Amino acid sequence: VTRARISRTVAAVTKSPDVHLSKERGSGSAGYEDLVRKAAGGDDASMETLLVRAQETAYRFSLLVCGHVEDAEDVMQDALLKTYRHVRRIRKPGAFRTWLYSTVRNACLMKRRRRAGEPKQLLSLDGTDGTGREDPRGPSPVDMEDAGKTPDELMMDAWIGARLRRALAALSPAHRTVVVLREMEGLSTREVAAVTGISEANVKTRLHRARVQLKRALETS
Amino acid sequence: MNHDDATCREMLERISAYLDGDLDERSCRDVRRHCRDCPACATLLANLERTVGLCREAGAKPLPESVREQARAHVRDLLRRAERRR
Repeated sequence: VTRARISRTVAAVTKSPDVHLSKERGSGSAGYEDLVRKAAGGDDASMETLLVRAQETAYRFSLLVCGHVEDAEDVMQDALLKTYRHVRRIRKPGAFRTWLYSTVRNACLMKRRRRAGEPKQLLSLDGTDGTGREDPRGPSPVDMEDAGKTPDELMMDAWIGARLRRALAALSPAHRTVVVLREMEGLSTREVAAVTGISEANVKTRLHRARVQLKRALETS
Repeated sequence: MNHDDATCREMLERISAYLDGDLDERSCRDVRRHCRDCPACATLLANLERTVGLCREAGAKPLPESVREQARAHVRDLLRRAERRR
């Protein structure tokens, strides 16, 4: 069985020529640039779309990298205000995307520093949800399955799946940041380098190590 | 995988570049040839490709509607306040 599986894998890898994985995904910085240009030029609809999109970017990045819903909500609001101010006096619309991710990353770093002294999880000691109320019907099957998970984990599991959430959590913050930016947010190597402040060569090295670690974490989860 | 094997070690170092399409045609051919002869590296390559694919698939998932509605409400509120200040 194992030999057959390996043969299939080898065949799958070697038969396809250089399709590889697509380098650029989504609308990319070009999509943002057009929107930013229009918003800066006074187009209200574009401004509205841009502000919603910037907040979604902030929320996604914060939740994927830091894993806290409450922080993601704060980072989202922070991104809204900063984007609104920034876009009205922007000089280089093409640089907006890296500016946004850098801003969001900094906000996340501040949040992480604040959390550094806190306990890992806020756990109820009395078996309630923290409000003192208990469900008289007892725990539901979902409750049983999700017992021990924090609300943050439940939210992430519903969104990206428990397996990937656990595998991402196994990475160091630096590796997780590169994976999220490159693989999940679709930034180019150059953009990731600009956001994280490391060289493109280091981004590639870090990304490779993170991919290998992520693969191992997925295999063991 | 036998990591004492220099070719396998070299393959491991180039595998991400191969996946990202950063290698030239000759290097790509080398990687493919090596994978034909080395099931361990072929498996590694396939598993890494699956890992990256899983991330990209998850990255394309929209946020829950409640979050998106929250974002829209924030924008409406901000623009309303900005309008009043004008």
